[in-house]
Amino acid sequence: MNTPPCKPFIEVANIYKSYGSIAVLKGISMTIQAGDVACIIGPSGSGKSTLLRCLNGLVSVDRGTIRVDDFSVELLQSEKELVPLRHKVSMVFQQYNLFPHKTVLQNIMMAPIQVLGHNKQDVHERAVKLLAKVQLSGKENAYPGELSGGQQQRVAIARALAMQPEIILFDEVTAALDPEMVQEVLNVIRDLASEGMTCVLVTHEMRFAQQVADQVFFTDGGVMVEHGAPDRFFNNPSDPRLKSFLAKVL
Amino acid sequence: MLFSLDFEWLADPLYQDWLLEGLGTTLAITGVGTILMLIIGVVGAAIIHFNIPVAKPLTIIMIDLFRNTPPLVQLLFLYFMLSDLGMSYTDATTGERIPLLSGFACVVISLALYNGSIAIEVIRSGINSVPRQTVEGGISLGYSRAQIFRWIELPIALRLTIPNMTSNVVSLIKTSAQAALVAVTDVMFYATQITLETFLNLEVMIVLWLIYLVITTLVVLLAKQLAKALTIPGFGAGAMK
Amino acid sequence: MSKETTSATFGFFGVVAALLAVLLTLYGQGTGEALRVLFDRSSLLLTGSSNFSGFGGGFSANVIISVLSMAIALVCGFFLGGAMVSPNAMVRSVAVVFMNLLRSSPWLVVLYAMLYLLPFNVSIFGHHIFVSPFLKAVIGLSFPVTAYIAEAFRNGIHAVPDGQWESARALGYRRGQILRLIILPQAFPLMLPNLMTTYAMLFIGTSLVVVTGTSDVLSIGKTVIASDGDDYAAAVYLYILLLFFLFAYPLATWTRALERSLSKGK
Ligand SMILES: Nc1ncnc2c1ncn2[C@@H]1O[C@H](COP(=O)(O)OP(=O)(O)O)[C@@H](O)[C@H]1O
Ligand SMILES: [Mg+2]
Repeated sequence: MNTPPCKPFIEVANIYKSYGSIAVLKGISMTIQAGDVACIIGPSGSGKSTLLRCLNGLVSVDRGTIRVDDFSVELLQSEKELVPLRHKVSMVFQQYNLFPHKTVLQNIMMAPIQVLGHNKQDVHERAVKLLAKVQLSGKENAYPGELSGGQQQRVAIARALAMQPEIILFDEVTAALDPEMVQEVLNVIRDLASEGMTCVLVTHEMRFAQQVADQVFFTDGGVMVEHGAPDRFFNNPSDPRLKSFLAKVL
Repeated sequence: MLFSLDFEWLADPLYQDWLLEGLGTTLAITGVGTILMLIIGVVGAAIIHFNIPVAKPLTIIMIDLFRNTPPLVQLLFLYFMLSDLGMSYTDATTGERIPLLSGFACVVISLALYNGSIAIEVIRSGINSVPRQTVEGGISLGYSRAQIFRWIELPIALRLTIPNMTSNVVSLIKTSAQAALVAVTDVMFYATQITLETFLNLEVMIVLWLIYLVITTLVVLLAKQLAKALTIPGFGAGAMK
Repeated sequence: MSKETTSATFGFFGVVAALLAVLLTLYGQGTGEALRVLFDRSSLLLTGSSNFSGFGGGFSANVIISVLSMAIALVCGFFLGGAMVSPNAMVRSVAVVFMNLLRSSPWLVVLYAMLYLLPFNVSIFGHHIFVSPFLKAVIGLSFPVTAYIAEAFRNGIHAVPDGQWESARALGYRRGQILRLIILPQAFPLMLPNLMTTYAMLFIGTSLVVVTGTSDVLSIGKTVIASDGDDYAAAVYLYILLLFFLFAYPLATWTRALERSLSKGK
C-alpha cells in the first residue's frame, strides 16, 4: 500500500461548477495518491464542500474531468452508474446525516445489504467489528438521537466503512462537535490513515492536518491557491492569501 | 324535556340487530376505505415526489377536485355515473341486470378518493419535513432515489404524519355516514329506519352519535398507541429541525 | 407569474377541463343535449327560481346558509374558545369536553338531530316564528363549526408568546383587557387562515343540508333529475361539482397565499 503507484488514485483536472450565476469552482485541479491523506483547507464559502462532493458525484461538474481510480466521474449520469463509485468512495458529513429512524446497527448495515446486496450475516459481523473499532460496542441498539455528537459522528464513520470503500471523504466532520469530542473522532480518522485508507478531509483542525496529512490543499474563491506537503505548506507558505489565512487560524 | 327521554326501544332485539348490522357495515366501509385511502396517499405522494410525467398533473388535478368539492356530491355522481354507464352485468341464469358496483363499493371508492386526496397532501408534507441531510446521507451510500423514498423518506414521513393521518381517518369515519343517502345499510341508515318506526328521533340520534363517538375515540386511542410504539428515542417532531 | 399563481391556475383550469372531459366521455354524441339541459336548468340550480327572479334556493341558498351558519358559529365559537382559555380550570375543562363532543359528531347526525329536535314553531314573547328547514340547516351546521372556531381561537391565543401576557400584566392591565387589547389583535391574523379553512369546510358541508328538505342545490338537482330523466343525473352532479369547485377553490388558493405571507412575516 505504501509504495506510490505510478498513476495517481484521484485526478481532478480543471473543473468548473456554478450555481446559477454564482461560480463556485473556477478551474480546480488536484491529484491524490492511493493511501494518502489529503487535507483541504480554506475560508468558508470557498468551495471546499463542493469540491469534495464532486469526487463522489453528489455534485455534477459543468466542465473538467474527475478520475477516481478507473471511474470517469464526470461521465457518470444515472444513479445506477454512480452506485459502483459510491461503493468505492464513502462520505462522512458535518451533520452526521445518520438515519434517525434506524438503530446504530441498522444504520451501519442497511446500505451494504440494500445497495450492495451483501449477505446479511457477513454484514452483521462486519458491523460489530466496526463498532468496536470506533469504540462504540454496546451501542448497537441505540438510536442516533440518544447519542452524543461525537458518538454519532463515529457511527457515521463506521457506516461509511461498512461499504468497504477505498476512499473516504470527510467534510468538516468535527466542526459541529463540542471541543471534548473532537479528539475521539480525530483519533478514529488517524487510525484509518495509519491503516492506509485514502482519506480526503476538509478540516479546520490545522494541527491535525499538519500531523496526519501527506498533502495539504488551500482553496480560496473557487481556485486552488497552493498545495504541498504539510511541513513546507504550514511553515513556509508562499501565497499571501494562504499566509493571511494561516495567520488567522493558527 | 331531557327527563322524558325514552330508551326502551334499545331493548328491542330487532332494533339491536339493526344497529349491530349497521355497525358492521359502517366498520367494513371505514376499514376498507381507510386501507384504500392509505394506498392512494402513498402512491399519490410517490407520483408527485418522483415527478412522473402525465401521472403527476393528473394527481394534482384529482387532489384539487376532491378537496374542493363536497364528498356527498362526489358520491352521488359516482353512484349515478356508474349506473348511467351501464356498468352492470346480466345474470346468466335469471336474466336480471345487476350493477357491477354496489352502493357499498361506490361509498368505499368515493371515501378512498376524497380522504385519499387529503392523505396525499399529508404524506407529502411529511416527506418535505425530512431533513435534506438525511437524504444526502442515503445518496452518498449509493441509494437510488426510489430506495431513499422507500427506506428513508417514507418511513420517517409516515411516523411524522400519524396525528394528521388520524384526523383524516376520523374524518373518513364521520363522512361515511353519507352512505345512508345512497341506500347503503350502514348504522346511520338503520338509525333513520328506527326513527321512522318509533318516532323517538332525539333518542335514536343520541345513541347514533354515541356510536360514532365511541368508534372515533377508539381510533384516536389506537393511533396514540401506534405513535407510542413507533416513537424513536431521541427523535421527536421537535428534533426534526 | 409566481410559482404559486402558476400552480393555482393549472389546478383551476385542470379541474374544469377534467370535469368537461368526464362529461364528454359519458355523453359522447349527446353532450350537446346534456349541456342544453344544464343551460336551461341553470337558473333553477343557481337561484332556485326559474328565471333568476329570486335567490332563496339552489346554489345561492348554499352560499347564504354557509354565511349565516358561519356568523352564528363565529359568535358562539369565540365564547366557547374564550371559555377554553379561562383561568378557571373547571370552566376550561367543561368547555374543552364540550368542544371535543361537538367536533367529533358527524355533521349528518347533527343535521338529523336538528331536524327533529327543533320544533316547527317557537313563540318568543308572543311572536310565533316558523322554524323552516332552511333555519334548521343553518343552526345544525353552526354546531360542529362552532367547535372548529373555538379551537382555532384557542390555538391563536396560544400562538401569542407568553411574554406578551407577562409584560402586559407588569404594565397593570387586567386579564380581560390583555385579551382584548393585546392578545387578540396579535392572535387574529394567526387565526385567519384557520377560520378561512373552516369556512371552506362549512361551505362544502352545506351539501348535507339536502336531508333537511330545504331547497339547496342538491335538492333542486334531484328535482331536475326527476323531471328531465335519470339520463342527465351524471351531468347535473358534474354541474354541481363544478359550482362548488368554482367557489371553494379560489378561497383555498387565497387561504394558502395568506398562510405563506404570514409564515414569511415571522
Ligand atoms: N446547492 C447549492 N445551491 C446554490 N449555491 C450553493 C450550493 N452549494 C453551495 N453553494 C454556494 O457555493 C459556495 C461554496 O460553498 P461550499 O462548497 O459549501 O463552501 P465551503 O464548504 O468551502 O464553505 C457558497 O457561496 C455557497 O453558497
Ligand atoms: Mg463546507
